Amino acid sequence: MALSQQSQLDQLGDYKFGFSMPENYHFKSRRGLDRDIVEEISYMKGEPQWMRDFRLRALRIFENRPMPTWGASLADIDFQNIFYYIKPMEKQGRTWDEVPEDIKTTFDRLGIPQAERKFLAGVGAQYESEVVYHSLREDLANQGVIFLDMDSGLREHPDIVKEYFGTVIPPGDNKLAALNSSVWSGGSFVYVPAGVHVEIPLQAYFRINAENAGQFERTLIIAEEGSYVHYVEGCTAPIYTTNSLHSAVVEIIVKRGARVRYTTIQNWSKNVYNLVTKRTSVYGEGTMEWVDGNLGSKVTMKYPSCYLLEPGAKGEVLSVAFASDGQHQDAGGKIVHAAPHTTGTISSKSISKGTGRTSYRGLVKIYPGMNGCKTHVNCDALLLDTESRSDTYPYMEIEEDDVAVTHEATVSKIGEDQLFYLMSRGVREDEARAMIVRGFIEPIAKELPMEYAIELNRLIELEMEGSVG
Amino acid sequence: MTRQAVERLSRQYDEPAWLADARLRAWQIFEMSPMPSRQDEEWRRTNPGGLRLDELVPFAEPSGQIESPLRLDGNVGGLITQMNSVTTDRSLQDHIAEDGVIFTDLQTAACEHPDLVQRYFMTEAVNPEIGKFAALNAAYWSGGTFLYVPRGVEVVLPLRSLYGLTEGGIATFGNTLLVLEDGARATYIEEYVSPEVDRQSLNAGVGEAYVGQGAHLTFITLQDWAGKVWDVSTQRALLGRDSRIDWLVINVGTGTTKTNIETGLQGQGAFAQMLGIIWGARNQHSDYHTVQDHIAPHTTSDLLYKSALTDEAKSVFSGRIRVVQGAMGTDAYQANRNVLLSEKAAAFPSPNLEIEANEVRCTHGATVGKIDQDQLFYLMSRGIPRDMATRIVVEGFFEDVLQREPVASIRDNLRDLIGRKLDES
Repeated sequence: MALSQQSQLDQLGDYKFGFSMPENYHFKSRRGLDRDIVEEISYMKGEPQWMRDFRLRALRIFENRPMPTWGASLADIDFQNIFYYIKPMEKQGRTWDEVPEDIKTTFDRLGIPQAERKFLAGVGAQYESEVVYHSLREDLANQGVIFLDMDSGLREHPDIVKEYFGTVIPPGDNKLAALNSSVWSGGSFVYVPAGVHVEIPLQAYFRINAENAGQFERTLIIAEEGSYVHYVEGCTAPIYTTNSLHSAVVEIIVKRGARVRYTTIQNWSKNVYNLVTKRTSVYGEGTMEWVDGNLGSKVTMKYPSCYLLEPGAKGEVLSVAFASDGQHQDAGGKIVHAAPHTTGTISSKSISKGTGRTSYRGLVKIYPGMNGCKTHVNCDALLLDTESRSDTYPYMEIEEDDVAVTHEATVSKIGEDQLFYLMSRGVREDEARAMIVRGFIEPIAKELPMEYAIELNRLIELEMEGSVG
Repeated sequence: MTRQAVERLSRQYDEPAWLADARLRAWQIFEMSPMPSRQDEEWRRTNPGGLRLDELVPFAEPSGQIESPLRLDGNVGGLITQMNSVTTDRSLQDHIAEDGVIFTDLQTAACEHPDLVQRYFMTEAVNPEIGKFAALNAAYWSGGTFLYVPRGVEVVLPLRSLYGLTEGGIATFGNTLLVLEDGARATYIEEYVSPEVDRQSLNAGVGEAYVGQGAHLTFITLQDWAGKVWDVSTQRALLGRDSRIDWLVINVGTGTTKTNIETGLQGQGAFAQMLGIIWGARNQHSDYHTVQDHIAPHTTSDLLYKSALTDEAKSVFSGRIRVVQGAMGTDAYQANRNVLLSEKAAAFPSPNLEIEANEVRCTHGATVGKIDQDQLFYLMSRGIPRDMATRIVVEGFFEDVLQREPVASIRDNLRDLIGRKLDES
């Protein structure tokens, strides 16, 4: 009886709420989180039973877990004062005039085209690259690549999603992963068949009609044997949101000999708590590269991880963090050696300006018997002002003797000699400072696609303005 | 362990009222503070649940025999021996005493020099409020060591304390208070040693050092506890302007150690050198939390902790460089090197930086790896068998720390001690 009632409800949902035509739809759940809200989200999306059960299981875990007591201060988050599901079309009610002035200015300064600006600010319904996206999709489809938003992925490829979803990051991993698992919406679903090299980076913001810039997005990337894909999330323009909490989960599976690069430039507006769990399972001879830039948000806690599960697997994390007044970037990475002869690298560069605080937090773990593993961690921090703060919290858990693990870190200010050199050549002090900061992050900026590297540099220039004295 | 036992202790030693009160206050703190658990960041790697506090007797009379691991018998300026909870012997050469130096057990000092002891004892460097075990120590300590060196006085000969623990099922509470007035200079060596005991025992120690302006303290803490002994201690040195501490921590025991070693650089120009040698064999579990607290501007600290681990030894190093706002011109260095000699040995280094001033230079590094294969190969290619070659390489690994110890006799005896310990495994 429960079943037939369920299917009736599903039909009712289709009919009444028009979920097949989401662009006509406005919906907002009430504030707070409980079983009813989660059921409602799942029901609105017309999900299969297993996903609904998954969400409810995750909710119980979320409710029973204490808040993490380490890391950044999360005391201000009130979970009961948050809308857990807002249909993104609702955003289109916003007009360009409502976009805050500082964000408009930043768009100007970054030189982002008008149409793109509107899209990025959440006010545009159309975006020039739609055409690009369509032709891209055709190319990809010919190769058998799937690139969809997660909700569509679940609808169109339920078997693949069911096989992998929640396997890399189970809901029980941590409180915020449990929260995401219970209320997730949007995010990307990428499937690359064996041997396929996707030549151009897949960028999340091509998926214009999808629920991409969601609060609890969920991304799943599967790279079959010998394949390659570069996925780019976010963009350098600030993402304006009225939501105070963003908690995403990103799961990636890199199969034998495959390579995945995942690039993020996080630039949430400075009222957002950005608490994200990102993890990859890397199989034999596979390579995972996280390129993670954090500039925005009020508080970020994010530690992209590589679990190296078979010999020859390789993991790399490149992390850049920039914290200015009132921001705390608690970022880093994890390399877990769960197979012999695996290698890892974590390289972190962080800059604190004004009252900003950056914290590197990372883990290198080598299980007993995993001989021949190597990992190197390198953290550099730059402090620009007297009230800036920088922390380094690396953890190493090494339970095997035949390994090489090294960690090094330095914290310093901008070198007087560098500054003197530049200024003696006629460079103004503020320019010189910006130049030194750009030089400092260069090793990571050069790993970004060109347009991102340029935007990152511009953005840092903007942040650096007026930083003299 | 009860409040009555604390009161009994005060009566037994006919203590002044301020001390008896301080014990009871500490007992209250102990009772009110929760037992740490593995959920506490500080206890992540050492399970406090493994310690059966309720099965331990907080006071034990002297018994049995112990021998100094360092064997530095000849030329010392003074020696205090404590067996279990009781001071059994104390001496100080007359010419040192004539300079106004006080070197005696802390209980005697509290009666004979109450103003001095009260001014420093468990006030600023370590106080009972920092944690449950410090509070327990403050309630139950006995014996102990008090060193006072007046302004400008240099004590050339090393002063020593030997703490022995000879029984299972007991808890001892070693307490060291070192006060060097401005311009004073001294070398203090403490050794903790036990024979094999049949049941779990605990030493919950507290150590405090106040190093005055321009003063120089050389502090060596050597630990050789047996397998069933736990050591949960906090030692903190506060450094005045232009002062210096050379602090060497050695652990060659096989017990469980959870020890905090902290320096607070409170005066401009202060310098702290913090060295550690950990030789881990059998089931040794060592968990060192170090702090280099840069409070005043223009201070320098340099830390190097090295551990070589065999059998099932586990070494945790959690080091922290903290530079407070305004401590400009800080120069801090921190290195932790671990060599794993067996499959079941494990190292958990976590060198942390917390920097709130920008005119600083702070660097740290940590490594974990197996023994240097090139060095091993070199020796073996010259006909030296593998285990002998390994021993030589491990000795060489510790040598750069030993080289920083300026007194030849101490350096030689430390080298001998490490050699004996390597032979045992």
